[in-house]
Amino acid sequence: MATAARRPVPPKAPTTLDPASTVASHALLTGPHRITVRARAVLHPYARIMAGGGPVDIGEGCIIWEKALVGCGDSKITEGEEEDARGVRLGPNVVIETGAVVEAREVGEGSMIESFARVGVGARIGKYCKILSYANIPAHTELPDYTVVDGRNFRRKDKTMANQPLVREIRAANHAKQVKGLQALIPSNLVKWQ
Amino acid sequence: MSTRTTASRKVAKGEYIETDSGNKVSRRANISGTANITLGGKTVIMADVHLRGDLTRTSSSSSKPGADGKPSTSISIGRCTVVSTGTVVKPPMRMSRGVFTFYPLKIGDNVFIGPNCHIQAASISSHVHIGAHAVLQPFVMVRENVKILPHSVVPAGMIIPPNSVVAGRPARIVGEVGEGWGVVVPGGGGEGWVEGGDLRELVRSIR
Repeated sequence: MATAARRPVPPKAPTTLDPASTVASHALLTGPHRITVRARAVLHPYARIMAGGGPVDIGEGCIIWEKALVGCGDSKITEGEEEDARGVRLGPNVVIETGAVVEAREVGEGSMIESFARVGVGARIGKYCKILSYANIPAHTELPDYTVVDGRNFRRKDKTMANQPLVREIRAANHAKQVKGLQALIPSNLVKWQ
Repeated sequence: MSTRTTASRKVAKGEYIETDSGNKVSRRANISGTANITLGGKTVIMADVHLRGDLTRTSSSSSKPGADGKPSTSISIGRCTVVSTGTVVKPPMRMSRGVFTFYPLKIGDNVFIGPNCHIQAASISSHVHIGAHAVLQPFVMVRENVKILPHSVVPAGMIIPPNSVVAGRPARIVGEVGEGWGVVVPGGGGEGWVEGGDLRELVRSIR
């Protein structure tokens, strides 16, 4: 109640929530554009999804931890940009850790964005990428698949992941179990956001 | 006008709720799963701190059928520990017997955790000082009398031996805390507390 009195409540976004997804009641889904949350996605309490500059699509089995921000808060569009250019699309099994800010156009399947990393507007992150803690991806960057970016913004290619389909399979199976474990712990409140 | 009156009432109420054992918990802290968190006493939880007590060990019914329904401690914090604003404290998670479970996170006494940290360690011993914006990745173990410099990223599973100074991304041991770590110099000024020392004075000064 106290917080509601202090600052205005941001507008609820129009949403399409899969019944098999988990959206905590303290998660925040705001903005004028549509937010889609697909099956088995987990939104922790205090995770923020802001569809300020375009629709946000959370893929299957994504995990978004507390204090992470997905999407752009402001709806300002610079000259020559399309209407929905600031939307975000997360592929399946993307993990976004605490405090990370993801304004990217697209994040590929199985990518992991660690705590406090920032991904700028319009960036495209490939599949199975890892953005480590405090890494900063500038706006409109294109990262190829299997790239690892560390906290000093050095890049390398994860060759194990690229060359071994079995490793990717194990990773996906592991991720599915992680989602299962979280689903058991986090109470879902889809009705609040529908 | 109405907003002003509510603001003044809030000031009168005070920022912190003090428990019987002297813990000071901010009204603006985001604590989930309070049943699974223990605070040792005289511990300060500042505003906008996230304590994820709801992430407990999922009772795997096959191994321990009797443990069901009993709340297990997921975060335990010792005495005179200060958790500063914006810090996220959550227990680490890993695969065990085919299921993902969270492991309890234990923080000792007189630990100072700076603002905007991300703590996912397995254990932090006593007299540890963690600077601002530090990240402790899953299953880090920090022993006694350790100083973690600001903006460090301690990689997953690192075990920091006693009396070391740690910094960098990824964090490495860069030195040792010398003699007199945590010893208040008499007449040295300050507010009666030093990094790694007894934080009782600091806790007392926060209200």
